[in-house]
Amino acid sequence: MIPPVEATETITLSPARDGRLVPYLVIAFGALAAGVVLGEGVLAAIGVPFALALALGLRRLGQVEVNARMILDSDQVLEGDVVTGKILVWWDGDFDAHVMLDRLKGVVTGSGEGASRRVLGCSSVELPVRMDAVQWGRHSLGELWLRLTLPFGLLTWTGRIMAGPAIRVLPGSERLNKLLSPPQSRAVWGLHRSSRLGDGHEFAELRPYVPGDRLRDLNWAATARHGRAFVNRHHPEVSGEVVIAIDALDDGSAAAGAVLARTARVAWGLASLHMRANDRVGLVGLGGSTQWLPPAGGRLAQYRLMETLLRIGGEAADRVMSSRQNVAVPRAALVIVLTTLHDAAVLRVLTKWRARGRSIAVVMIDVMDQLGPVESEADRLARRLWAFELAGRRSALRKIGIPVVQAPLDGAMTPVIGALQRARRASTLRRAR
Amino acid sequence: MSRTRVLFGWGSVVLVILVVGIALTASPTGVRWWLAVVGVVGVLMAVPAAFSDPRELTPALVLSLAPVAVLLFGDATSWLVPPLASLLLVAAELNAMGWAGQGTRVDAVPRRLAQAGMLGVLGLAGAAVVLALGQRSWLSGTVAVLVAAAAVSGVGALVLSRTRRG
Repeated sequence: MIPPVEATETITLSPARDGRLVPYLVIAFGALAAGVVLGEGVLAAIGVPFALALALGLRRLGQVEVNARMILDSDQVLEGDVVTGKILVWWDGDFDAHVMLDRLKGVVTGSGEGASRRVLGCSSVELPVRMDAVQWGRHSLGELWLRLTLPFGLLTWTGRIMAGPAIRVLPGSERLNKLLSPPQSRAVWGLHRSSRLGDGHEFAELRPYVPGDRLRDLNWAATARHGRAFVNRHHPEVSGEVVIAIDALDDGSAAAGAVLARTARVAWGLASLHMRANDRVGLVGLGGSTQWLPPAGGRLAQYRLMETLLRIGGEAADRVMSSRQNVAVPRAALVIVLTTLHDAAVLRVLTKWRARGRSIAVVMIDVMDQLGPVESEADRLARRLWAFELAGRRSALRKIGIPVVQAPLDGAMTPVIGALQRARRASTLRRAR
Repeated sequence: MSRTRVLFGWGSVVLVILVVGIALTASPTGVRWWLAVVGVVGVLMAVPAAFSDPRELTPALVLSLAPVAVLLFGDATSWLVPPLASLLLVAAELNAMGWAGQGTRVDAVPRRLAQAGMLGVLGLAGAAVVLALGQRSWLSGTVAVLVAAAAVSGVGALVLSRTRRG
């Protein structure tokens, strides 16, 4: 069972003046001053209502200490699940309060539920948290803001109380199951065949037996056929470096989340395959940060991989973050880029990497199905034009030696593996173990 | 912009129009046109004060009070000053309610309206008392006004120095 996550904060809020304070002061003081200047005491009567409002509105002037606690039932949910918990805020004195959870990332408030609450004349407020996790990634659960006022008050106490704890939104369960067991996991094995001969599983050639050869390498069929001993020779398997670059440049469209999820699905499958082949796998978020994963297998490496993916997803949801494209890719690494090819900035990065001699393969994520049915002739023409544009971009990449393959919608990995093999034939550099 | 927000905003503008209209009707004919110009400008400034950011309420209130102040100098019209000044106060409160977004919660609206009404009644009573006292020849109005002015300015300086603009 996952324990609840808790964050607490104590801050002091200073008063801010309401828009009525200055005009009330001007009128109250001005009426009194006019009475003095003109020698007419009755003029003070005009300012009396405003002076009374001032007296009532300024009965509390000091700072207010506010305590807040945010408790989430879990900091790890699946995409589409509900994030639940509660927020407790308390302060000294009785105020009318408006508490609000703002700047939500990766989650939205559920139907019929609000992320804010108003209470009257209280010293505390409890706000239930119930939000839908809509985008995978690691997100900070927004900011908690509070506004305190007094009845008749001319001052307000407003401020950010605390930042919400980080939550991890994992890709949906069906998607996750697919990712954890790619159907063609062994297909990647051939990618790492070395041109050298040595120990390994991949058959290379037959040659006559010479003293010193291992008996287990004897090829009994060839030996029986030729009447003298033959042994099998093998290609050694080597480990390599693979960099999976994810195009996380969010275009702000409604389909961006679905596209990113599809990209993550392919990235997870590829990374898992290469890690099983004992490769060093790196992840690059074009639009986010870079992190290398150590060459390791098992659950720990997979968790690290998932953490990195979540971080990239979380940063994609944060559109404030500037894109970072000056990523140092090792010369010996095979770079697999998962992109929609929608952003020209990605093309520039690929061209730059290729110019520096990197071996690159592009897996294009198709998003045309996210557009919905064609609604008009102009819509149809626009899609055709866009398809031409994408074809031009694919062609431009192929001309500089970057194979481009389209990822199928059903998640099958075979075409992706094919693209990797083409990239391998192009110019992948490998180091022998 | 919510419906209650619009209602509060236009409610404050209507009250300002009402105050200026009554004050102009009861004002001396010799200065009525000049006061009308000032009052209309005050009304026009009340509209952006209700709906446009940044909210500048001071010019609207001060200009709308000018026709009211003139009523003090007529024996038959001075009694109108306390209710009209209180109505302007209520208008300012409605303006603030609209800006504060309190109207988005429906059950808070009657409470806020009751508070504004209570403030208006208090202001009316206070202004009536001061007006009655000020019209008595045995009271040294100038001394009282000087002391009150010093007190109000002291409180104002203290408050403004300890708060920031919200």
